[in-house]
Amino acid sequence: MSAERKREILGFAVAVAIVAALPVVTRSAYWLSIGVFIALHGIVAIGLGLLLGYAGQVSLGQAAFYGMGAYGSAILTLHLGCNPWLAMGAAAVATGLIAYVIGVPTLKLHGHYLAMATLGIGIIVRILFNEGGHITGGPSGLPAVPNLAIGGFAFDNDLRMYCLAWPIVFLQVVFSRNLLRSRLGRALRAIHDSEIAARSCAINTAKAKVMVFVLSAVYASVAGSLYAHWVNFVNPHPFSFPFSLELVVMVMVGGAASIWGPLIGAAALTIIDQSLLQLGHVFPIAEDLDIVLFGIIVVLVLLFMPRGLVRGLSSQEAERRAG
Amino acid sequence: MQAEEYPLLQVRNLRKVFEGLVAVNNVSFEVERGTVFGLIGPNGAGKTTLFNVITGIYAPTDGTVVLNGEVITGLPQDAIAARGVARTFQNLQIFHGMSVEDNVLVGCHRHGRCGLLATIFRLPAVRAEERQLRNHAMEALQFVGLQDFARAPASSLPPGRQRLVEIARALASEPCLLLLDEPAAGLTTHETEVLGELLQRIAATGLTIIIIEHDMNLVMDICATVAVLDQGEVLTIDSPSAVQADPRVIAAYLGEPQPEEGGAGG
Repeated sequence: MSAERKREILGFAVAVAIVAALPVVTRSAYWLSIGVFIALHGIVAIGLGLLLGYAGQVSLGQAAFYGMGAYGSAILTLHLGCNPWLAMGAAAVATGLIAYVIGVPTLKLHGHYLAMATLGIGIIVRILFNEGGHITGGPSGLPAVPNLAIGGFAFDNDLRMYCLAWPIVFLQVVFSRNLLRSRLGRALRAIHDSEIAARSCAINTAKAKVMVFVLSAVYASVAGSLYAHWVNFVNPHPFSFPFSLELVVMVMVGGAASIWGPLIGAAALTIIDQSLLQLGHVFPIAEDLDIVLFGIIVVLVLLFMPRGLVRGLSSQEAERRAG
Repeated sequence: MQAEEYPLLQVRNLRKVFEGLVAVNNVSFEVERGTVFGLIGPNGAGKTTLFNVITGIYAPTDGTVVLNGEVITGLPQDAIAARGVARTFQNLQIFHGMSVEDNVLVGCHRHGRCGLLATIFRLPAVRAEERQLRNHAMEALQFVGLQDFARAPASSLPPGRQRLVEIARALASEPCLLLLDEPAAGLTTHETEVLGELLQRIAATGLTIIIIEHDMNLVMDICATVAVLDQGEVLTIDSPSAVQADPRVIAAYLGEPQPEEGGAGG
């Protein structure tokens, strides 16, 4: 077994151990719910990280895809009596198709047309959620979204959801690793380094970028469905532009072109967000400071660790070892 | 009709104009299977532009490129590469963030089939394909003599070896036509000798090659036919010795400094 493979397995084991330790240390619903939020944000961020880090494209509409998953699940279960698992799958397929339709024309072009297109989609989706009448429940949303369940076992509390969401995150980490260590993943990394050379190796760069974009949208949709079946309620607010932006910051902070980076970024920002919310109970102004603080974080990361925390810290460690 | 009746590559009346500047003008030539075709000429003669049109980086203003009897002008770059046209770049275009082996594995891209779903679940078909591609890449690395550097980051190698990585990457695609854009540019005398020996071995495998090169000894050694380009036009196409004796060729070169022309995109 190579040293690289050993390090890979060790890193994975440490992450699993940390995640498994939380419910042992505390059964507080507050901490467990933060744990679930980190997992859900992490699922979206890992997909966005692949898009940013390997296709070199920004999506400013990931919150909309997250919302499509959530609303898809809510609408299919409440209005059509669909099984929650089936609703989750159907919402993911539909979101993937929408991403494909957006991605094909925009990713053929050079430049950041995808960012603009996804920004537009985010706005359109927000309007549809708000104005969807009885289908989406309008601004007040849809209550009583059913829980996911296996047989008689429902994922109906924070601990159970925690135990469902995190294995999905780890599965995703394995998926990402499998992708990056394969022909398709090497093609993505090649595009990142030199598009002209990648194309001279018969890589269809537009097709590869669309593939990653669709994957990132499907991931976001799955996270959104998990959210809807967990909080049992959807309304338009969580799926608007500020959350799309926050997701981009998560990926930048953790580092896009690494498997763990976006997850660590998701954890860091979710915890900061929640801390400010708590602080807001004492000093009301703190709640509105999040956007300022995120701005400062982005500037600091770009100045000192442009490749994100994970790559930044490991390269500093490598330099230290090298003396 | 058998494809073998055609020359491998036919370039017919090719013309490329950039905003009024005629970079390639009415260029026609044919490259027979299994031969090495040299492309020489002073700086700015349009040699790299010609490569960029043949490989689909630029669409020609006029004219056609026929590969194996099929018109490939207007096809996207990756589609032309998928038909077996491989190239190296005058300004190195290696994948800096990847190992030497991974660079060469990217060259094998067109031989893989597995899709995204099979890949993320790492199905047995993906494992089998991966093993096959790795063997393939290793053969290419051994051929150019870089097998001991497989795991090294490609960016850690000196320029001479990075050039070999590019050649290995092109060979790994098992091309029917290999385009080499000034492979000896920036190499030391010793590295150029090693390269010359490598090119001889590649030519001996029967691969069809078009090479742009300023090093005349290298050109004389390996090319069966040489085309001289000047100001976008073909001056003459002949055997290397006849070309060297041609007074028009000498006139075209007179007073011209030797070093590089354009960029990978130029």
